[in-house]
Amino acid sequence: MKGNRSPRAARASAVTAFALACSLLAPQASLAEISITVSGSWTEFVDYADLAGGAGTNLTGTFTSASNAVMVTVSGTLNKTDAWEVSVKRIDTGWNPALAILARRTSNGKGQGSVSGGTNFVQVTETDSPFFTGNGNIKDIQVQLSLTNMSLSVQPASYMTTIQFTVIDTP
Amino acid sequence: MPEAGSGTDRVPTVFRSVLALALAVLVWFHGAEAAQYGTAVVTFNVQQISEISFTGSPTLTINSAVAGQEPQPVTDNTARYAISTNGSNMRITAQINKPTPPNTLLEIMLAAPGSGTSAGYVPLSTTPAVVVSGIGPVASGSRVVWYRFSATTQAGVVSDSFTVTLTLSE
Repeated sequence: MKGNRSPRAARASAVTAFALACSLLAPQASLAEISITVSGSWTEFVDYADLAGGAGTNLTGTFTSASNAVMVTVSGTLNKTDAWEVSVKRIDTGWNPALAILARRTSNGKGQGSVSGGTNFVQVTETDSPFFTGNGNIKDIQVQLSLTNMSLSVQPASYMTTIQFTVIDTP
Repeated sequence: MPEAGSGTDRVPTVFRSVLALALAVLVWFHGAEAAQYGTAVVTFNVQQISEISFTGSPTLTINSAVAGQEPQPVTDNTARYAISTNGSNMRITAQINKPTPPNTLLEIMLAAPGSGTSAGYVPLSTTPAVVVSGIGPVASGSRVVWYRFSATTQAGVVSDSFTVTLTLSE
């Protein structure tokens, strides 16, 4: 009888319930785990050929990557109405702060969901900025990058930064 | 009975704890799914840029002298040069392709390109001579190049042409 349960039995029941809860909740959480996959990179060599007009002129200030330099895939949504937001920031590892990086979305990707926003260049700073939103699983969203403020004042060296795209499951 | 009652009281308490833990697990899982990220690397390799261009082919003719003195030197400032560099402490050297005739002197002077220091008039020879030094990152076009040509009476009547080479280097 219930009222006659020993403390040990109660603890056993509790552990069983906990295990059940975990086994029920964990797979659900795992199935609902939204994720982002980013592929691609952008490398540029800047030399005399990038002078705006030969000797006596400065470097072309703006460089733009291929329209599909970076491909973003959002997956793991519950369904095609499951909304999400992608933000972007940069993590510098030997970067010249005078150089600005911008990003824009150049395709809608493929999938049953949809994507919106981010088609105009937004500056990528060291803090997360909203980039574009969408819902459902979307594959191969193309992203183009741009660099501005290049000039002869930038000393010869290799400059590198990491662009981080973060997806957040939104209500 | 006290013992049974005690056991009965513990069940809800333990369940509450379990439920709280389960909720915490759920929150933890939700937190784990809430933000995922991927990265792309951007690399810019900026090469050393040392570009210089040079225009102008002046003719300098000495054809006058004051009686009792050496012929008067002549100058020209129609030539121009332009440079673009992202280097530091760069310099420009000048040289000609062959020696000038005996008893003649051909000199060159470049205006500093916004950074660096002009060496003033420098004799031209087949050995490179520094004409501007200490040049930092700069883009400068249409800077003046002066030539000065002088000769003594012992040079006689001569005519020659030279190719001047300007080099921008570290």
